[in-house]
Amino acid sequence: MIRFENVGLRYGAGAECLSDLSFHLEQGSFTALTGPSGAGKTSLLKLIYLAERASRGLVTLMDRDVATLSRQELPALRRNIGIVFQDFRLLDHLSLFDNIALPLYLDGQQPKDYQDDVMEMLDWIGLKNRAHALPPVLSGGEQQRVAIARAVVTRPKLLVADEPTGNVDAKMGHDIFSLFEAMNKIGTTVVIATHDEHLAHTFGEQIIALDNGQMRLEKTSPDNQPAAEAQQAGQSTKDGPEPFSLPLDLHDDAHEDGHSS
Amino acid sequence: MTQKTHTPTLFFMHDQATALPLVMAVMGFLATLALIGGLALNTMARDWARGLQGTLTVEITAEALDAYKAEHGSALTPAVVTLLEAHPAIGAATPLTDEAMAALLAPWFPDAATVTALPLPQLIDVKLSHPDKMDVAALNTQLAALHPEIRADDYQALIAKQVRLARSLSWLAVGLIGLVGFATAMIISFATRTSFAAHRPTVDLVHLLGTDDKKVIGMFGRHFLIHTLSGGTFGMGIAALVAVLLARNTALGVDSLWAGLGTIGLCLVVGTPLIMAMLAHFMARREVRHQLAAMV
Ligand SMILES: Nc1ncnc2c1ncn2[C@@H]1O[C@H](COP(=O)(O)OP(=O)(O)OP(=O)(O)O)[C@@H](O)[C@H]1O
Ligand SMILES: [Mg+2]
Repeated sequence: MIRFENVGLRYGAGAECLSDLSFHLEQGSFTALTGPSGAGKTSLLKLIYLAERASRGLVTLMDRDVATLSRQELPALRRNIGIVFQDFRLLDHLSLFDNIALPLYLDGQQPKDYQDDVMEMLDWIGLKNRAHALPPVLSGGEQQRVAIARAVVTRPKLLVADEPTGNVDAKMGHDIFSLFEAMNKIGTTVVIATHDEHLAHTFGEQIIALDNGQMRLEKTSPDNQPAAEAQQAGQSTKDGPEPFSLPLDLHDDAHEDGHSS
Repeated sequence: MTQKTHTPTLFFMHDQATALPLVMAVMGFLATLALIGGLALNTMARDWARGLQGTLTVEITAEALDAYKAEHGSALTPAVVTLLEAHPAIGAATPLTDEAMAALLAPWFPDAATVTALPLPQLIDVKLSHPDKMDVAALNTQLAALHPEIRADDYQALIAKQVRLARSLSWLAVGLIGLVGFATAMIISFATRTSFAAHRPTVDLVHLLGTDDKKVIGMFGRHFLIHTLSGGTFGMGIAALVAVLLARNTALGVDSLWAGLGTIGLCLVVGTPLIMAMLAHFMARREVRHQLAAMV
């Protein structure tokens, strides 16, 4: 799915912020990306979601050498990737509904066709009754949930999330990872940058630890995965490949207290 | 929950809602006025130039006739006619007969005998074969060599000057239209760049979500096309109104304004906003394509 060979990245004429990265993330894998602030996590994800091009080395994405792709070929590839940006990047002039629907709309789908999917997502993130609200009136955690909903609403082949739990409490962080895990179980390749070592080790099949532009790849042992998680994930996949009907309760009352305005 | 079936508005919610069409209205006004003026002047010049095909009149004073006869013993008129007919731009030179003179003056002097007795100048009717080659000043120098008191009237020269003026003015109008077009292109280019920068976060996002450049280029192009078309049409309407009012309140007259414009001219006037809009469309798309090319 994703292959890096001796990849380096520098911004402008500065020093390399990523050097000699080599790894292979298989289709259907679940990878956590950890490292201190400034280690280059966002930079690495940008190479994956095609916001930056490597200064050197080979980046292969979905069996395509990214460097050789023409400008016309990039959009189609990008539409297979769901992205949760570290800074959310919600469009402040669009309602929550339209923000979540954006990738579907841009893909040429009609509102009547995606209406139900989007409402389901809104329901799932606990903001169904605020579909017409604008992002600026939401709390940080609520905005983050909208950003996540937008990333997964297209059921992408590859999900890239940059600190998707940075603004939510531990329980919700866990729930969000559970959703990603459930998506992973039905085939989505997942790459998540996180500061949360515990979540990284709990959910990640492998961990890329970045420090100062250098990387270390470690496999987590299956024993790390708590039984509850395994059971929860198993349960969701048993129900069929429907990521949006997961038994995830992001909007249970305990959490509403901290996040609704 | 109310059903939502609208499509999201990605760009241009607030910006330039009135500013751009207003500027384009001014541009449309200037371009249309210059176009109408230029076309009207061009037609005028053509009509006047047609008048140049006419005749030239050479006048020999009575004194000159007498003095020449006394000095040379022969009549001056045939000598002048010979000189005139040798001129490359002149087809024929016909002296007015006494009877013709009498007929001309009949309203004032009904008695032909009185007329003949008067010390009248001799007039020679000159038909030009090549009006465009006629240099009246040079001809006058030649005539003065025969006698200082022979003059070709410079009425034709005056008209020729007016024709040249009208033609220069209509070229000036063409230049003005060109300038307006250039200014329009620059304004649209600048406005597109500003708008693109203002919408940069949205552009970046939709780009990363896999939107084709074509779609973004199309959205910007359409925006500037519509704003230029609406503004330009308004400006064109005002300019046409001004032109009609001007024509009605001056010697020109509305009918001759329409005649001056002609069908093609009228089509050009009506098409001005369309041409402006197409120019804006092209410039906006060019600018956005250029900006997008800088993105990964
Ligand atoms: N657009 C840019 N231009 C120049 N330098 C950049 C740019 N983006 C990131 N950097 C630099 O690259 C390095 C890695 O940044 P990056 O954002 O990838 O870190 P990170 O691991 O995501 O940090 P955090 O955990 O704080 O989000 C930093 O030193 C940063 O200053
Ligand atoms: Mg980061």
